[in-house]
Amino acid sequence: MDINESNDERPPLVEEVIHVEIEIIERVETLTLPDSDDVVLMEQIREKLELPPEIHFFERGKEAAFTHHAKGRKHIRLVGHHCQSVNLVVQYDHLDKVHHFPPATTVSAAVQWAAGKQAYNLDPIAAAKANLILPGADQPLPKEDVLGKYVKAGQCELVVSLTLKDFTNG
Amino acid sequence: MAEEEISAAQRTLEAQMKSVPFQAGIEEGRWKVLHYAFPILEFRISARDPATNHEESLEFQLKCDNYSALAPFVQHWDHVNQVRPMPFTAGTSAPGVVDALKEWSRDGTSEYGGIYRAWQRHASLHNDWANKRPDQAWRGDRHITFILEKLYELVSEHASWLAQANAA
Repeated sequence: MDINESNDERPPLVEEVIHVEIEIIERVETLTLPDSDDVVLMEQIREKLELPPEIHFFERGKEAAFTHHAKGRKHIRLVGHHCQSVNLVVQYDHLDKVHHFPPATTVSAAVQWAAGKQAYNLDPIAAAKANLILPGADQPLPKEDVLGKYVKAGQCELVVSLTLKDFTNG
Repeated sequence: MAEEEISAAQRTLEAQMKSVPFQAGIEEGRWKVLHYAFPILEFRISARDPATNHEESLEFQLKCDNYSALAPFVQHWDHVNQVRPMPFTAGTSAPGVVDALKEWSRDGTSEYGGIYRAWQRHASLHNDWANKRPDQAWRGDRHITFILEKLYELVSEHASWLAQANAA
């Protein structure tokens, strides 16, 4: 076809794209996908990465399941996970506190919840030292990680302890 | 005309600045580049208290020479006045934030040591901190967003503390 031929239905010369990083447990993939109202991003990701329907998508750090990106977004970080929510059990001082979080919730946000009024209501000095740690581990969970990373296959529960050990001072 | 040659450090940093995690943070409004002239990067980091939606922002300057072999030097910064603000005093922010932004001298000198956290260039050497906390320490294979996420955590703590203080 002559590239100068007039054709109102031809696609725009510059295709709009969206850059997606998706984390699925230990695997991180980066995709560049066409961004159009006609194409559902989740379906494109599922097809490209050959993900089964049991994998749900979440935007990193956000509460709701991911359905579609907001207009204007060109870069997006997603978490793909087999759980729709993670049952987080936080043990501290002979008590268990439980809360359901999306798998894309960061450890940092979970620590804030655990230290806050809805859970153990720590004073500010203690809250500043709060970390979550897996049973038997000697280092706390990195706060930038998402909870879903630590959930075992076939489960949707994560049991951790709240520790106030002072890891912050060199 | 020959293209200007840039160092491997600058190339590495700029490639990371084009990455999805870095650009997504900008689009989400979590960080904004205020100034960039390699090796200096200045940011505004914004975070909200999840319970009240109270938002706070703080500015930081990073010096990224010999990146990424060397951890960035990071300090709290006032971009408009090009100075380091006075540190927070006890009772004006979360204890963890007050500690991280305190004035301290790097080992054996009278020079300010930067943000007092294991991921920061000079603090990492203090009391063998990087070896004690490898999960927090900088490594050459880290991404610049590792630092930005740590700064975002500090600003989140600051926002939550102020939200609680305002409600009290």
